[in-house]
Amino acid sequence: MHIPDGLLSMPVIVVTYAIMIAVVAYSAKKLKNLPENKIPLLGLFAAGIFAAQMVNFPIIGGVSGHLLGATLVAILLGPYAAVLIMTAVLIIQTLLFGDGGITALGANILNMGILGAFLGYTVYTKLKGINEIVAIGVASWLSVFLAAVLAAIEIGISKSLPFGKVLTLMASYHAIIGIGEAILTIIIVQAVRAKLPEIGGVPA
Amino acid sequence: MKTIVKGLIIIIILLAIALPFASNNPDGLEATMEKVGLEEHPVYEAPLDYGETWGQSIVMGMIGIILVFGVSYGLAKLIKGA
Repeated sequence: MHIPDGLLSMPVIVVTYAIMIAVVAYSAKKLKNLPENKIPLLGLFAAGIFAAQMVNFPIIGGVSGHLLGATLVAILLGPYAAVLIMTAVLIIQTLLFGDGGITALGANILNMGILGAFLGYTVYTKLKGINEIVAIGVASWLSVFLAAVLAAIEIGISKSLPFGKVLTLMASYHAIIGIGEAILTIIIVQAVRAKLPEIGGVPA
Repeated sequence: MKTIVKGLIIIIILLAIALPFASNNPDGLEATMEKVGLEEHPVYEAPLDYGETWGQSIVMGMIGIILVFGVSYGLAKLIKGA
């Protein structure tokens, strides 16, 4: 779901970059108390998300999707660490691998990182009292679905095009891709917790 | 240090196993762009890609994995130090 160059108008580029920079700076401030021994873990999660995003899984109709992972990381390490990790991943993807446009980096970090980190974390926290698996599944599915809706809105504001069609296509594809996200997030969160029971959180 | 190397090796092994199953189909956004006739207009040429073959993809994956680890590790250190 990496938005390329040429899809966003100047106002949308400016606004999304401004929000992204503000939230990344705020998250960085919140991470000042990050325990020193958690830093390698942060790096490993970032590396893992990068690798996971290389592997697209097929959905219906000759379309594919890949893990976003922001909600996954937020559940395990907290939303601020998730913002930092997703920012690092997206910067490398954009600058070195041409995944997503440089003008869309603000929007892509906002959609695929910040939204999933905070919204996914909030939904998970609210639902985990009911059922852990349901909480992880719903939070991660929503993070993909709403990221797609947000991307559609950003593109819709930027371009004169049939907005309803863009929104419907983005929402339908990602409603299905979100199921993949939910399954992968449930499996990975449970596996990491089983292997690293002491993982705890990062100041959230 | 041992944990870091172990973690990175596990990630690379999992990637090596998963890559043959990866789909080359357009993703949800690319498919949407095709259907409504949106085209990208690159303003920047990235120096690397993800490779075509399994071997190339593993090498590019390893480069990316190590760079992403380095950048996030460095950013976290910078935040702690600032």
